[in-house]
Amino acid sequence: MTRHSSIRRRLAAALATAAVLAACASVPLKQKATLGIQAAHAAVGAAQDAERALYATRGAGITPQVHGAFGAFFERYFTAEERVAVALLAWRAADPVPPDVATAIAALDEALVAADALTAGAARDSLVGRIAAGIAEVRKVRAALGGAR
Amino acid sequence: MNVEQIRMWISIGSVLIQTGTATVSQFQAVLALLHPGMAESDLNAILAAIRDDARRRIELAKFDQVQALADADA
Repeated sequence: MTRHSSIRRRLAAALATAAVLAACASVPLKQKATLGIQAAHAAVGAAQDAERALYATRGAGITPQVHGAFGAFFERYFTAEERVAVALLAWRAADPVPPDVATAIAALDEALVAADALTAGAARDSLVGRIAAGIAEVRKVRAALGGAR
Repeated sequence: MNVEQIRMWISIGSVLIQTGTATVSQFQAVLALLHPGMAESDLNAILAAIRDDARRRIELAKFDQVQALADADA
């Protein structure tokens, strides 16, 4: 193999890699948003299950008052999430991002941030991690949709 | 696209580009046609499931708030 053909082969591989990565990056926005919200739903749902299990054993210092506060947070979060799902369902993928979708996702983000006050304390690390994962997913969706407008 | 599929397409693309059979933009257009993403009906099924599970979880959260009040009074 000559030096020239080796360089040419490497260049072709680099160009093919760039083309494949570019194709991956153009995943439709509705798909990105749906999969992101699905991941956030799984993370925050796991946090709700974990909090209920901790309260059942009175673990991690979760008093009735704290449990009630978590209940209020999860009610707010899942209400916002239900609105996001309904807004995304109404969005036809070929259309631009509707304002309803962006507004609903912003409300979801705000609901998640309200969890900060509830997750203080090292014993609640498992809840913090799950809620943080939810926040990260929602932020990715917001960034993807924000960049499209 | 999973990792194996990405590797396979990079190999195929390398050969096509190297032999001059396709340009990068032609190869990219073919990829976009072959991998258009998930069908909208699949996305809507996922969203409907999220909506329904969110409703169930809202009810759980409401129940927990009532239970917490009762436990605090006990």
